[in-house]
Amino acid sequence: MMRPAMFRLEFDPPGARARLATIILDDPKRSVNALGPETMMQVDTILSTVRGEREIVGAVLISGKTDHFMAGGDLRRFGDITDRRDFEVLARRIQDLLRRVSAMEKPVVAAIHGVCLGGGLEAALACHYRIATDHPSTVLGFAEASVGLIPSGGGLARLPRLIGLRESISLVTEGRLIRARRAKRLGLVDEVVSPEALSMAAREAALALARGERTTSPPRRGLSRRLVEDNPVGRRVLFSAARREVRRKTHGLYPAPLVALDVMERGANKELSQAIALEGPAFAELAVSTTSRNLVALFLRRSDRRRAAAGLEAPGRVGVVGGGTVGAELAAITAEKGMEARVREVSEERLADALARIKRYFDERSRRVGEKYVYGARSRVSGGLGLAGFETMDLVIEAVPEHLELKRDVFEELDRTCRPETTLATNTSALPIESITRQVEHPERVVGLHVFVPLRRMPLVEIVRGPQTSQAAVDRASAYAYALGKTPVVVSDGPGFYTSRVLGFFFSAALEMMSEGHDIEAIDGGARAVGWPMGPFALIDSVGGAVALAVLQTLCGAFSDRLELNPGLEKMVVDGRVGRRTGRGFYVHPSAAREGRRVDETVYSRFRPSDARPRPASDQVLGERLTFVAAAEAVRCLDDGVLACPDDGDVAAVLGFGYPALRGGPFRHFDTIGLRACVDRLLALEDRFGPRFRPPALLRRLAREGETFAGWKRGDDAA
Amino acid sequence: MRPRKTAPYRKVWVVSGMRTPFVRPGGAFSNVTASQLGALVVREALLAGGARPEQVEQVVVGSAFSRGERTNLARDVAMGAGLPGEVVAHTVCDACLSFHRAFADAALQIESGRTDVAVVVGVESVSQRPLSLGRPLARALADAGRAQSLKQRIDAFREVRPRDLVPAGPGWANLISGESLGESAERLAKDYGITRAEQDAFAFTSQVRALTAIEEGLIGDHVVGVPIHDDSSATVVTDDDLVRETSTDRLGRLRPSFDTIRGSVTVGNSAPLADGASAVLLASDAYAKAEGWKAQGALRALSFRAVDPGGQPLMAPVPAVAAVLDTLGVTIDDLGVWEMHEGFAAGVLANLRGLSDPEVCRRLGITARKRVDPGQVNQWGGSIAFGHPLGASGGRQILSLLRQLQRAPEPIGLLSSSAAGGQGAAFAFEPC
Repeated sequence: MMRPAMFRLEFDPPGARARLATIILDDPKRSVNALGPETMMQVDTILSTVRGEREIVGAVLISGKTDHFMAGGDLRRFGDITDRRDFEVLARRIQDLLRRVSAMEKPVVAAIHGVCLGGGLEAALACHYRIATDHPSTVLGFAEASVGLIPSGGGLARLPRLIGLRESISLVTEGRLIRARRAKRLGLVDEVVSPEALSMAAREAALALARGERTTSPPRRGLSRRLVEDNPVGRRVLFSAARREVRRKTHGLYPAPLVALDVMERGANKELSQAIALEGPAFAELAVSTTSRNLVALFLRRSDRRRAAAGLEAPGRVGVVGGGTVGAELAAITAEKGMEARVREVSEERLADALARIKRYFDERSRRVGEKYVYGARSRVSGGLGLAGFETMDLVIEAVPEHLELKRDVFEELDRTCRPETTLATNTSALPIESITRQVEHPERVVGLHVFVPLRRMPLVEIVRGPQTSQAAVDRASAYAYALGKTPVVVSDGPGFYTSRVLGFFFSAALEMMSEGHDIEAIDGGARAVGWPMGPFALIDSVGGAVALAVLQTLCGAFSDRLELNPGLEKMVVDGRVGRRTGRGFYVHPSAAREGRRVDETVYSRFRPSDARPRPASDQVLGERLTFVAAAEAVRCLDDGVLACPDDGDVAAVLGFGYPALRGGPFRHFDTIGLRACVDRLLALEDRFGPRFRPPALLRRLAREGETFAGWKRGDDAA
Repeated sequence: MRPRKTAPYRKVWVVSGMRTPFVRPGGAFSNVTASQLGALVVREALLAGGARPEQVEQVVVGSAFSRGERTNLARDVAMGAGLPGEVVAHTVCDACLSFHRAFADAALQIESGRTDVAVVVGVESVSQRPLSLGRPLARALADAGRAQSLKQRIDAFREVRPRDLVPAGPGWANLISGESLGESAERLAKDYGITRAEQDAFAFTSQVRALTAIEEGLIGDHVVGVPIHDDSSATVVTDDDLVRETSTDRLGRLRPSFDTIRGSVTVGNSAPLADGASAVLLASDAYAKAEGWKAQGALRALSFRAVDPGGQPLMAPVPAVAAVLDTLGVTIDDLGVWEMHEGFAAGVLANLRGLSDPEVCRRLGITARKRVDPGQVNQWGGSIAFGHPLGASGGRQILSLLRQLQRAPEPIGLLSSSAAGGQGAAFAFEPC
């Protein structure tokens, strides 16, 4: 059955002297315009119609959606394709289609408002002229690398021919998104206009191009481009530098950017059509790889979780108790996303600091996107010393320091002040919700809302359902997380919930490794070598030693069978060596960012005798040990019921604490290795390093029964 | 738009109110704009009242000259406070009665059933008061703007003299009498025989009462701190910094400001200018009750009156007060709390004297009332102590009046104020 048309074609009424066609991308069934097999056929028909109408002199391609132009290929359909050749065919069909667009003798103008990524940008590149709006939601780029793929609709061939190799390399390998003005400077778009003027400007351009009064902008050919990019030697230097940079950043774990570089280099001196032809096979090779499959699966599960929260009613007014780093940034982003935010602080000094933090946040945003898009947000956030007005809030988030007594006091006060419909949330990173709400009269409205720092970059919100928390409270918190632009994952209450619990074991293993004699750099390097974006010590320095210590203290109390507190960390905190905030932790962090951090050698004396002999161990061995301790604890979280399903665990692990994304998360990782092999490996680790590596009961059972986590259902383990 | 109740006449409740500290011009608020101050108090008044921004239908801002920086300051204030774009906002001006005018505007709309919820704001940034260019320079700039050639542009400035480059502040002198209100006060003191000692004693009492009220925590709950950021530091300003300890001795040593030979009006016994803002949330009693809002007080009556500015312009509150008393059919004895604007101690003392003086009252066309002891008014201090951010003072008066009514319920509280140009206002409130 044919799906309803994603495209609408409208012609100017007959009689107009020069008529244009408007091709409107607007899939009526879905919120996103994506390219699938049927939609491609429609484009085909539309192109022939436009070509056939003699009076029509040109066309404008514009989206009917308010927030994006077009997304790329439909990733949801990728799962059904298993054969490499099918992916090649898919790529070739898109390439042919776009080639027909670019080969049209009538000018086609892309009118871009909102997100224009991947396939959407490739379509725009195939047009003869591009106009983008200056709205902050308009961003352009290639994000294929984030799902282990490369552009395959001619993007790798067309982009460098338009804006040069150097900029293309950076856009493709880093997956950077750029705004319209920057795109104009690079030559990626021809004009930048206001959203209101987009349609008019696109029509003008199409008519002018048709009359020959305007030509498509020639590619930028600066001096450096001619000197470096137009000769084989220069190109070789450029590409080898790019490869070195990619390898440094990805530790060779992610092949897609390297493949993209390869395709661009091989296509650099070929005809356009030959260059485009290189993309299909390379794309297909990546699309069937485990890495890409893992990344795509992760992406889809993440969007499933966002989609589930999208329909829930978001709060309109949010109170934040505590204006520290987290509270202030939370308030600022809340306001930026259109909600009203009010911060309560306890002293004038702290309030002033909180408001200054918020102001700095907006000043920074203002520099980026322009004050007119920030002014409204500034007016939606305020601060005060009391709880005046909190009774009218939809959601109040506690973000005070991690002390149980303090948090209890705050909740008692909030419970008294706020009307019963107000949802109360705690931003604790490890304290069980139940322990905080013991004295509260309405515990059903209290929910855990664990956000990660730096908030503006971290994509996860861990939502914690306490034993008495109502579904309404969970929904309110999920809707809020979605409104912030984050992905909510709901877990059950318990010490450290999911993310902090796993992270605690990860930290603890790292501290233990250091006590054995391994060096900080070796351990952090080992973690990065297997795909963790940050090593454990760098991570402790980043979240703060005091926070890490508080988490470990909570966990050690609860899991004393396999976790004990390393006294070294406590000594570090007592000495004020809590990481980046004080400039010293496991590393020395110079205030000037460019100086770079270095390991603080004096740390070791707190953790091991001076004669401890570092044991030689490869990066892989050190990294694997850290990964396994984390994955094993994730499995226990599933077994304990903290996690509702393995997919939740995978998404939260990658987004929350940086579990190697190429593995798709701990559960998918274990499935890939094979559960039996995992049990064996864990037994071997337990032998050498103790009970925290003991294979979890659930893992053993599934391995015994030849099951996988992919096939796991909650009912199963009740047996 | 929510459906209107069509009751012909409804009570106006003051649901909540907040003000900024009143601060010396050129001091802590030097770099804060009038609209920022206004936005802050609007938001705080709403939070204090438990109202949501989308419940507000109207914002009325009163400002004596800060409105000069913008064509509609109220709109900036409303948007700055994060109110929805659909909220209607307008700005009114009536010198020191600007707040009162804004209040009356909103209150009449509520009484007549046209509006349910409104925020009334008074705001003044004396530090950032608009300065205007002299006529010759302004004309030259306008001509230059229209010039078609460089020569015309240069020619446009031919008539401009160096002294024309000095900008001018707002004019204080009245066009008819040619005198400033300070000069009027000086004349008034002589006319009514109000001595320097009486004025200084009154000013001293105002300072002492203000200090006491602050120390007893009577003021703080309706004053909100203003966050001030500069490149290096962030603070929250919470103190009314003009209130000070003084003595009649010290006040007595000040030189008269307007008549250096026989004068009695000094900076010590008149209100110093200040930066500040105040806001109150008004609602119809029906709407407020339905929302479960509490009232600080309800409006009973209001009156604006004017007198010949060439006569004694500061006497204008007297007929306004008489009108309010007559409307309510009450006497001086029924007034439990009386807040009078202290532009000049001489003005307050002359008003009180005049109200009981048959001859003065005859000239004003009203009947004389019982004599009022000046010690009865402004129990928590007045404008001489707190300072006078022209358009924002009315808000301070109302907040102070209503708090006093709440603490010791009396049937009626009265508020009166004078303004440049010979205008006066009086408002009566009852506790709820």
